[in-house]
Amino acid sequence: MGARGIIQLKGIAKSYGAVTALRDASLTLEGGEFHALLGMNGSGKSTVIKVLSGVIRPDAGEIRCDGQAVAFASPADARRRGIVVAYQDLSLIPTLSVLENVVLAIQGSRPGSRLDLARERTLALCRELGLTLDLEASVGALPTPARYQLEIVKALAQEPDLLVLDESTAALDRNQVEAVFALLRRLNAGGLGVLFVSHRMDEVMRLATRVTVIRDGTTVASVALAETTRERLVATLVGEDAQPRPASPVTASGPGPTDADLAVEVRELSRPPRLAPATVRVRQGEIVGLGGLQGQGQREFLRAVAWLDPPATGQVRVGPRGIPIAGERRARAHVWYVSGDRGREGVFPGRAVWENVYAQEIGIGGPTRRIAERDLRRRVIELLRRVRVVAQPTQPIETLSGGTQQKALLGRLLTRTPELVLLDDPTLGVDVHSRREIHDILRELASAGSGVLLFSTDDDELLSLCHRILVFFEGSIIHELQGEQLTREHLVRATLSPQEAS
Amino acid sequence: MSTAYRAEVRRVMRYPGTIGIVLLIIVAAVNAVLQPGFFAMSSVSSLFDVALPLILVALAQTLVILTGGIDLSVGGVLSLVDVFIVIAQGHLGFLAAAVIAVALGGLIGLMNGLTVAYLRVQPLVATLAMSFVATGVALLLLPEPGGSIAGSIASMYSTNYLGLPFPVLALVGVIVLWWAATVRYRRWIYALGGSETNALRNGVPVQRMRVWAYVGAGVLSGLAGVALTIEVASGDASVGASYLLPSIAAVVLGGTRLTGGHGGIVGSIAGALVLTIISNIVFFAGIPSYFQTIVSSVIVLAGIASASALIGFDRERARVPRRGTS
Repeated sequence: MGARGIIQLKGIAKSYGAVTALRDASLTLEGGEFHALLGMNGSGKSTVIKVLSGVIRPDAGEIRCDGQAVAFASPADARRRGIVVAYQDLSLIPTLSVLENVVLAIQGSRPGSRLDLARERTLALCRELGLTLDLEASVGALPTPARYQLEIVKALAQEPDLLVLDESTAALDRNQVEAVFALLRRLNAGGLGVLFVSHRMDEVMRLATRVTVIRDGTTVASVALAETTRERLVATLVGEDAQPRPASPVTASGPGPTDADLAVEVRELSRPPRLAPATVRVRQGEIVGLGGLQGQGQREFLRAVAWLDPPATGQVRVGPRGIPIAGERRARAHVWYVSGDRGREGVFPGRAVWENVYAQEIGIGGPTRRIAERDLRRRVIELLRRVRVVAQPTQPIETLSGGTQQKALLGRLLTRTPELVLLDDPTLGVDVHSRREIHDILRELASAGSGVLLFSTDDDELLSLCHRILVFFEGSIIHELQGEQLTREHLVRATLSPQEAS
Repeated sequence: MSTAYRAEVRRVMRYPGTIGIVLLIIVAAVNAVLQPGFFAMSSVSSLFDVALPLILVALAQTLVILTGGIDLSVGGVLSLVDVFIVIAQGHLGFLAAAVIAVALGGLIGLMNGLTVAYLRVQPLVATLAMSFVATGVALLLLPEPGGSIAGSIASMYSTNYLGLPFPVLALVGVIVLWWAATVRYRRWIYALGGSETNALRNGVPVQRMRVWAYVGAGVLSGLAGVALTIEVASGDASVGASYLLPSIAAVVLGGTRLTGGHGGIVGSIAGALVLTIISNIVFFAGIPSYFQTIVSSVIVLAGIASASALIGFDRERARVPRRGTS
């Protein structure tokens, strides 16, 4: 093992196109620390970790190891400095066996067989975690929690100086988490540095010796845990010291329509293990947000309602007459689902704007009636003007920016006012300006009478649009915020405090 | 039934080469019924004579497919090597001509690899284009089929050494070479095909690895071309074209996933032998030669379809969540 030195990130900035992920992020890691990195959704934590691990190169700023400036061109570079990451979305090769995955990690950039060493370390670590893994099993066949445990085992088997855990415990149950932390604490006492990203305040308060808080891509605090309190940390996270955000007009989230007919009634909808039974009612004209930390079941809920991933139990009834949605065809007819992952779930690349907008009418790939086509081309011009998209109807959709694509697709909804619209992080990767226009479209949609369920990883988006926000935690709805409670502070507190009633 | 026994069965079933070996046993049995002396040394030997180029080209294909790519230039390389050896051996001698030809294969592989890894061209397009380049050069060198190689070389091919036919020895040699060349990088190859992003996160130099896979495939195709040249003993710029589809078919029959990261050479060798025996069966069943290509292609398609169906029942694929029972 190398020297357990000081690693510093200074003034790191990184943008993806029009979206700024990091403005001015700094982080100082002393050797042997148990350091927590805190930040709300979209604050830039993951980007910090990607910079630290050499996955991406920052636009500005510097990385120093023991005071000496270094450049991490690849994860292999970071690894040579003793930095190893257990990734939030895993770094396992599904087609290789458990053991092969560990060998792959241990050998790093110097290939060669280290089977015995890998087996020995894997078995030892598994024993410490009380984990029984078939070393020959293919990783693709492992259940999800086992994969997360293996990710941690694999990282530790490399005997790093600094272990970075990017929400690695989110998929584990209480006992498994305890076992991981017990092991980490022991290794930490032996000199291992740990940087962990976690949203669970309990974990942070219990384990960390130092906490760095990041907000809007900027490091806003870095303190020893002994010198702060939970309350103060939450206040820093929320940014109570900062100016109130002018970007969020409070006008939209007035009281929702209380006497309108139901747009949808979801009863006891579940999809184990990620979604516990959830009951939700949305009235016509109401925008209901799904909030909380990422990956707490919001997306599973939306996809179950849309029947994209059929629910295990429960009922969905749409419209004032309560038409039951059971099966894909019914869902397609009554429920509109718009994804922020436009590349995979939104657009047909290579097809014209108008074809994408009217994909359902013309049935891409199927026969097109000539008259209908001319009619649709004419109508699409009007529609694009209405959502302020400057584009030729015939130009390929991928020539538009992400935000413009999304506006065009959402504009489609305005012409038919569906009973229920489900939005899965619709403004993901969209610039500020288009984002505002998309919000206008959604408000217009609601005032025309659609019920809207909105999942967003952007808390400000939820706060500025929604009449009510349902806060998810580990697959259940744990809080419902409305009226006065629709503030950033309430939302953050509800998000971080599963045990307190709101 | 002990659980150990069942675990062993599961292991065998999960081994990617199992499908190819089972198919090989089946077609060998069918062939033995149709052709009595099939298992005699002489017919096994002649089977390997015919099969060697396909086996080598299937190994080339396996290497690239394991990394998640595909190499459509193998046929072009075969033709170019054949034509080059026939023309050059008169001046340089056979051995020198063959060595240069194999290096030529490696060079084409290098260009494939650089195009795919650094210019980010789809492997399908990059290697297809390279295939036309190679075939074009071959046609330039030898517009009309013709030429020949020394009879002594051709007879070497059908001589037994150490009691084993030359092609079998050559194959063993190539497998040993393969093993020596890939033992250190094997995991990188599989990791690259299994998940490029995660391979990178594990410190694998993915683009460099990718280039080497195409270079290796080029060299193996070059060796296949040498074997083919010895077998046909003449020059023809179109001789390699008929090896492209079978090279992919052998890999698929051998249980290697076309999406990469899973499979191996044992299955591919079995797959190549299966295809060779199928042509043999078609021949011995007395089917007119014009129909042979059609029939063997249909069988190939059926074989690929059934291999895909088998893979479809693979537990890993079956894990895609369905109807809320996860």
